[in-house]
Amino acid sequence: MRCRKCGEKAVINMRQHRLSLCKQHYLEWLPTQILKFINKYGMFSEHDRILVAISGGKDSLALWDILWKLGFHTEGLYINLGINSEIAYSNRSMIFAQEFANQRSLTLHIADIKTDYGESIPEISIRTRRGRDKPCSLCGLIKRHVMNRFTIDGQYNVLATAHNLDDEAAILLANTLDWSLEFLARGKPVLPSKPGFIKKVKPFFRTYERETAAYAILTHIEYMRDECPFSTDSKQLYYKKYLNEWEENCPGTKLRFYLNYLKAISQGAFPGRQESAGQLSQQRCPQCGQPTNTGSLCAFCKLFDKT
Amino acid sequence: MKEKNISVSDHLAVRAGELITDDEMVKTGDLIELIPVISGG
Repeated sequence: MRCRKCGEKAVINMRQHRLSLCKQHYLEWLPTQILKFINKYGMFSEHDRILVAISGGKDSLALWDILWKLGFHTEGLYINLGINSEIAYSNRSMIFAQEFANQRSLTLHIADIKTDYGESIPEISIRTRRGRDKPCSLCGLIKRHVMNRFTIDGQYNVLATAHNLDDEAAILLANTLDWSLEFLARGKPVLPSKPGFIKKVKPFFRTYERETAAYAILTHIEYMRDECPFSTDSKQLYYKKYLNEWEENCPGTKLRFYLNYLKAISQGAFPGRQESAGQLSQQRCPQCGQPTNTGSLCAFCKLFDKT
Repeated sequence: MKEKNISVSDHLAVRAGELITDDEMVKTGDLIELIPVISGG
């Protein structure tokens, strides 16, 4: 297979785009695409201070690399969740993130859940008996809280996460199968700032996971290849595999699924839900000051409430 | 990869440190690393 642009040997074939590219042209093409989407969807500009959520995996490190090369003002945030039994998942992921930042002289902030709150995610899960044998729902709650605190305290303008098209399509499929209208109303790649929350963007939302992995490999980014031990048999992996089967028989399925969903949203799908998703309670948690709808402590602070 | 029933969408193939496309002919003795590309978030 040959590169569409120069005729050299291709390293990647993207059937959904009917495009095969050599290493040089792929490494030019992907950042150009990302910049185009950043501008098209009004994600941020060169004047913004962007906090990039870093996991140590291929997607977040590839995103940070691209934003850095495009000249955006970025800093990273790694949240050490303390998932360290068996494969030392959190600590090893952190080392990949630190080495990436050091090699590029970038600033990486580290939030350590055990140090800051006295317990790791698995320990909180056991104590609160939440999530049965998996702390995944707690993990999302805690990461959202910590990221929000960092972005507000650090006076960033934008929080960028590396959710890719496969992530978005899998979440959309899960929410569609469940008819989760509330979640279906807020699956957009750009969430504007609201009181208590800064703007959140997903620059990879049109980028296949295979493309971010190819970028990481071709640029020799060292990343955490092991999966979180709690993600074994996760529903998201299950949906991704199904979507990929459909994709192989019908290239572009995932992209059409998600882009047509965004089109439906822009044309007013789930109107009541969209309005409520855009609204925010004026109530604040008396302990941490973050927005909450509970009328008392927010869900995060309740985890540590001893009363 | 298709012959081995390995999903092209789920994996990238690397030979001698270089990515190769799914139509690439491989020879006996070639060492191919299949890198999974999907993660469970």
